[in-house]
Amino acid sequence: MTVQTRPDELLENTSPLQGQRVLLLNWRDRTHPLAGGAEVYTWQIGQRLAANGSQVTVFTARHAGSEKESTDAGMRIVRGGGTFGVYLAAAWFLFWHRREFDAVVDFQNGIPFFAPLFAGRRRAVVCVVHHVHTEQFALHFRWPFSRIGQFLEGPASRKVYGARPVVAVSPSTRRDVRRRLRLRGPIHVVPNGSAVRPHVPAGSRSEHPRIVVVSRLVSHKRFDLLVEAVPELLRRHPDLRVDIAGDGPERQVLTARAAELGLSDVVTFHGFVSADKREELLAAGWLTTSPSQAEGWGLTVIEANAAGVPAVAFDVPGLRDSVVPGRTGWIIPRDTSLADGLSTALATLADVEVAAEMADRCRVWAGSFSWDTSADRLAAVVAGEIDARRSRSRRESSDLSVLVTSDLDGFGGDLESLLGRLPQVLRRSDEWQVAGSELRILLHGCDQAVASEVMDRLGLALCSRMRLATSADLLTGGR
Amino acid sequence: MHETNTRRGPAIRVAEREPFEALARVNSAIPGGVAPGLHEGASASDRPVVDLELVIPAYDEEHRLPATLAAAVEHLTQLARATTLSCAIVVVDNGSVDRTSDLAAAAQGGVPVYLLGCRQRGKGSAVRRGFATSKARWVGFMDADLATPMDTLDRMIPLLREGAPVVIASRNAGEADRVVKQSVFRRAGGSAFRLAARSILPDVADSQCGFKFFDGEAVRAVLADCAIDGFSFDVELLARMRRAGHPIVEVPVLWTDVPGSTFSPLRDGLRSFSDTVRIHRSLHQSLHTSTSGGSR
Repeated sequence: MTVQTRPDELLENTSPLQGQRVLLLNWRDRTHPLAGGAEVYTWQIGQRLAANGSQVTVFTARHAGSEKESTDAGMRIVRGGGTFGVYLAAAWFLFWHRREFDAVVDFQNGIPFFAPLFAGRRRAVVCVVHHVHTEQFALHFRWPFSRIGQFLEGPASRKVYGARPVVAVSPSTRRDVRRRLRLRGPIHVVPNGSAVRPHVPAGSRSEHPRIVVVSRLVSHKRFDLLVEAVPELLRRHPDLRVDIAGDGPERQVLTARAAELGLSDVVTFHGFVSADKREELLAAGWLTTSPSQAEGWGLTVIEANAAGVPAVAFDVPGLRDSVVPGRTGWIIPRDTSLADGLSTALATLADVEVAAEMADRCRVWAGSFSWDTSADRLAAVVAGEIDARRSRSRRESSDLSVLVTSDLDGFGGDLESLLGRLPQVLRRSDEWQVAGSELRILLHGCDQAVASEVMDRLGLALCSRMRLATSADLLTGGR
Repeated sequence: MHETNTRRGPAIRVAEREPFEALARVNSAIPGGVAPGLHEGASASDRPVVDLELVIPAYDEEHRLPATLAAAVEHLTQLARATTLSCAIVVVDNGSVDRTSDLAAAAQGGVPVYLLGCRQRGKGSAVRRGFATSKARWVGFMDADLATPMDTLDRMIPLLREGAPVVIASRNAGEADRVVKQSVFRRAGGSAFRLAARSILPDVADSQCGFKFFDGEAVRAVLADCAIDGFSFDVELLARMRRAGHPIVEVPVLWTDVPGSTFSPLRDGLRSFSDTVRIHRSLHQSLHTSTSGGSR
């Protein structure tokens, strides 16, 4: 009997955390006046876990005007403590209510909640790190508080979290967690999702070179470098146009500088634009750039990529993760000229075929970041840790991952039983998906030798090929 | 990972073959059109036969690897052109958390660059993994810091061609000189270690320079007996080669100390020292078993 179902329909789509009780510890509530990107991450993922059948509780600081307990997006929100008191309040809450939870996700914001101390040895704790702060402590706090902060983030966390798993939002953060905080557990990458998906039809880019930027205009994003680069770019690309959309404190300065350089008819400042206008600008664009000196994650780059626009950025944290050099844009050394980088990029993109290929890759790349996927991936890490804690398994961790691609057309056995066996042979945090007749598996913590043993066990050895995963693979989970 | 592997102790070296046989099966199934380069790195552990393969072990080398890799690719490309030898480079990522694998994967040039992973920590494990998966006529390794200039290889090739099974760069032999000196502490530690190493390899002036080439078949025959994962693995490797009856040829080099090594003088230094004791013991044991008529 032959199975007529397409392989990708056989994968059932239930959350591994269904029915589990999960506590999320987050510094601030999303209604907090200072709420930022970290809160977006917690809420986007938390509400999806709740929607997929987990009981989600969030513990945050209580700010003026907020209730002690409420419900938000399907999650129970418990508040207590102020900016710093929240750490004590969370510890107290966790200690007394730990039995009500199967897992704790500790979203650290410089200083973690030290959940393992209060959750007990057998309860799963996963620590999520957005950004390693070590140096910021020295910038924003005075001695001895800066040293205390550094101690809590580094050595204290290392001791308390031991071999518990860590989730980093990008490969840069992953490296910093391992090298600078020196945490010992396995580190998984779960990136930020991307909210908007522009519907830009392919082939609508302008005839002449056009650089388009949609971003908040603040000084650390350094768009002054772009404005300064334009005169030199004009020498090489005389019909160049630059569109800058978005508002912010720097807009005045940038507009004035552009006028001073006589670029008023080359560089257009659109201010804050509607979604339609934004799509129109991106559709016409050849290239975007983010000359920033550091980003958590180049969100504006990904948004432009979604419209098929590649990016030029410096080799700095965050951006070196969101731009895949040679595939979705160009990464240029930190102290080189932006004009040179942009000029090279524009010259490459002048070839319509090359540009179209790059645009496709950009769309695929941007398409691999969604909050749904991120929520699934975080759920998998947490579920894996719940299993590991219950079985008290001890595993050695390695920072290597292998990406395996199997051609299911070449697989002789029963597809249904193969896909049923995947969860038993693979780890929860390993990622796999079926696209058409291709099975892609990202195996974490192993090298090619171990991966080939796994594929052998699955009976897929003869139709698989594999390579060591790169940062881009870790971000997309091999998608 | 994956159950069976976690339960494995570090000791079962011989069993390392097994995964590779599985791997070979995987790779032999790949359609022929796949480029041998990195991007289709499927072939990284079942590489086509070449004359000369250069293994570069790398652990968090994002700063030093690009220049080294570029120099190696360039030199081997020239070499391949000048001598009609076919060459390949194998970067063995020893569990890096930085962009080592991204950079190695992006390498381009006239010779194929493969990227292989080795989750077993230690420079020794990484080099052995590269050697064990090699089918090359000559195979060698080089440190990722490019402390030994690439043109040393030009002086080694004629020796290898003449049949020398072990050709190593040496900072102490003949006219070799250090271009940049190391710190006093490291030199003192180095001397102590050299004394210990000298007792194992009495006639080798410098067993620690990270630039060594071997006859492929001869070195693959002794790999299974090697057990040192750390920095002093080369003492063991040389001792095993010597035990198997292969003479060691030293080639003097100009050598520079390049900062940024992951070698920690205290931790790795002590470890290296204790490893020499292990090597002594295991050599002694194997001598004993072989003289008492044990099977090989």
